[in-house]
Amino acid sequence: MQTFIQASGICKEYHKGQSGVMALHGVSFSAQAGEFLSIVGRSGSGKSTLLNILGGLDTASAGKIYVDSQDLAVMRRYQLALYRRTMVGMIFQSFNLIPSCSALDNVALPMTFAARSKSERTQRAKDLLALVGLAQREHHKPSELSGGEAQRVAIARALANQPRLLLADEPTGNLDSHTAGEILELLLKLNAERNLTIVMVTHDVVSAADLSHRVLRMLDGRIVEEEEFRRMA
Amino acid sequence: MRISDILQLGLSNLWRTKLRTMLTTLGVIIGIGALISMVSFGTGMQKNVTSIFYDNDLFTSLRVLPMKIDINRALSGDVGSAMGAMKSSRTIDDSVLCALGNMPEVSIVYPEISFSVKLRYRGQEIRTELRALPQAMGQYPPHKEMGWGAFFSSDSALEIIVSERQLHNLKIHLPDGPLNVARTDTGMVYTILPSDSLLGSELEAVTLVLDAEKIAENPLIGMVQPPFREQVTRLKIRGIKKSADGFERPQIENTALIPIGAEKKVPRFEFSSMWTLLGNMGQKNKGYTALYVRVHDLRQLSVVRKRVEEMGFGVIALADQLEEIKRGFIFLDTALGAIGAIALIVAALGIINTMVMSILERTREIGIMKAVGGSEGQIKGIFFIEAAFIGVFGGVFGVLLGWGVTRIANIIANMYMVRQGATGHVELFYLPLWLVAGAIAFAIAVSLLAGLYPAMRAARVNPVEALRHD
Repeated sequence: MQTFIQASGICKEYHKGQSGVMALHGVSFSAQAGEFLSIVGRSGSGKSTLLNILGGLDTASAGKIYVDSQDLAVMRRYQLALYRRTMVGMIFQSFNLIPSCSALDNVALPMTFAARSKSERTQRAKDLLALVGLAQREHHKPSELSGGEAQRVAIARALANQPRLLLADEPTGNLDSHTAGEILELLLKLNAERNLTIVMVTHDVVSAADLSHRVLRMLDGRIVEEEEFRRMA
Repeated sequence: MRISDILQLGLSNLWRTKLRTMLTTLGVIIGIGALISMVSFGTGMQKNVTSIFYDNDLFTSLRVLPMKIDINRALSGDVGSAMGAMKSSRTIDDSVLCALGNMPEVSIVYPEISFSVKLRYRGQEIRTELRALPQAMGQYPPHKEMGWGAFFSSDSALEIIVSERQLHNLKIHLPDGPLNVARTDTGMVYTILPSDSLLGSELEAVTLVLDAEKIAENPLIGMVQPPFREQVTRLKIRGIKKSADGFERPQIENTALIPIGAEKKVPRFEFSSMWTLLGNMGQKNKGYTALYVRVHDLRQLSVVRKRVEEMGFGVIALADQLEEIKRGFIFLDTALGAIGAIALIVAALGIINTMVMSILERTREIGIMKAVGGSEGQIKGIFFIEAAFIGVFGGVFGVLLGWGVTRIANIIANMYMVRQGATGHVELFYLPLWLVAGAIAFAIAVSLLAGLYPAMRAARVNPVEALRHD
């Protein structure tokens, strides 16, 4: 088994005025390639901060974090941008689609930053929308899509540059239970069929236990519990 | 990220906020329009002034005077030194003429001779000035162009070149002359004559000479009646100068020309002024009042000038004045340009304002772009290109606006001048290519400068905070 993520002693301190607030107190964990890992915990437990650091959107104050043998802690800002562009795809609770762009253009956006040609972008974006089951909705704006559809577009966008890691921050938080189930099924399918490593932050302990190989429980910036539900194949 | 993608993204972002983009661009358009019209007015004035110099070919000639003149001192009222300079004046005689004529740089040198005569033709008379010119001057402006006929056939021919204005005063009209159209004197009877019949016909130049017989008969006669008699010299009309349009040239219009060699064949008693009268009595040989020296090339002027000054003579060259005028115009252009530049600075503030606003509105979008892999450089580029587009559009349309304004202003100015009785057409503005290119480049440069701070700010947006942003 290949260790894909190796984090050790990650601290994150936010400075607000004179006093600092510690969001993470030395978090250590690892994940294997192809693993579906869930992080559960109350709001303010630091799980979203950990996900942002893992996604290269935020940086740790201390500690080391390796993804595919690359040390994120020593990366410069432009290297982090490249890491976000090629290594990870992220989805969010509030979808974070660009409202003025069609579904197709939203999916094509990461490929624009990767300097792909227009025809290549369009073709791949269509393929990805078909993969998530939205082939008929490519010219719709985000405001014309339902929550489930919007999250599917976001998943298609996250896959645009063929990342090996998918980070999901409360992906079902804004969806009804039926739609949430569909989205989680899609994630499970991607994990199984594409060997995509997934780290998901969620409130939903039940479905986390259903889907994940492992669940980490966080409290006050620390990992307090680790549970394995199914073995990696 | 591909350049074409950045360009397309920039354009579509501007298009999303059409009204705001248009208003911001309008600011740049007005700024550039003001700059263009101001500076093209300055360059237009400069062009008009210098073209008078060039048209009259004033840069390759200088005048040699008997005394050194310190114009600055004379103008500042230092009469004493001016008088002193007069006393130290040297005589310009034929030896000076020869010495200058032998210089390799000099193409033409001739003494300035002019005197007043009465011209008589078909019973009409006018008083006018006759100026003597060598035949070689015919190849240079303003003598190069002749309305009808030609310049002198030789230096000694008994020929005359008159102006259309003088013919007009002699009550003669040319059927195809411009003055014929503007015949306003009522009650005057004009003879209309075609130029073919005028050219070659003889005109009488009437001068006064001392009447030796009268004085011999009675030396005291001068006390009772003037001891003069009229002398008539017949001169063939060789050429006619057209009445000048645009800038009037009274000097040319009120002077008739004769060949330099013919001047001695017109006997006269010179008393055009008290000075010459006194001068005639005081000195046996008064010399020439001034020499006209023409060089082959503009650059040789300083060589000749230096030589003439070493000989102890004074020099007046219009090229000096031109330098002075040019310096003045640089100052004028700068002042006019500064006014336009202020308008552009205001426009630049508008750009900064618009872009900072749009960054605030698009904070979340910037966060998304960063989350999906947009680098700081790429995001900077996307916002920078928007400022560049505003600069390009503002510059191009600003030049068009400025051009339009100057065209309209020129038409109005010409209408006004025609109403004031001016003839011809004046071009007040001059819009050279360098000004067009410079203004567009300036608009782009100012816009990019204005876009620098907003673009940097956009690039530095914290993606974590931006994604939480509503």
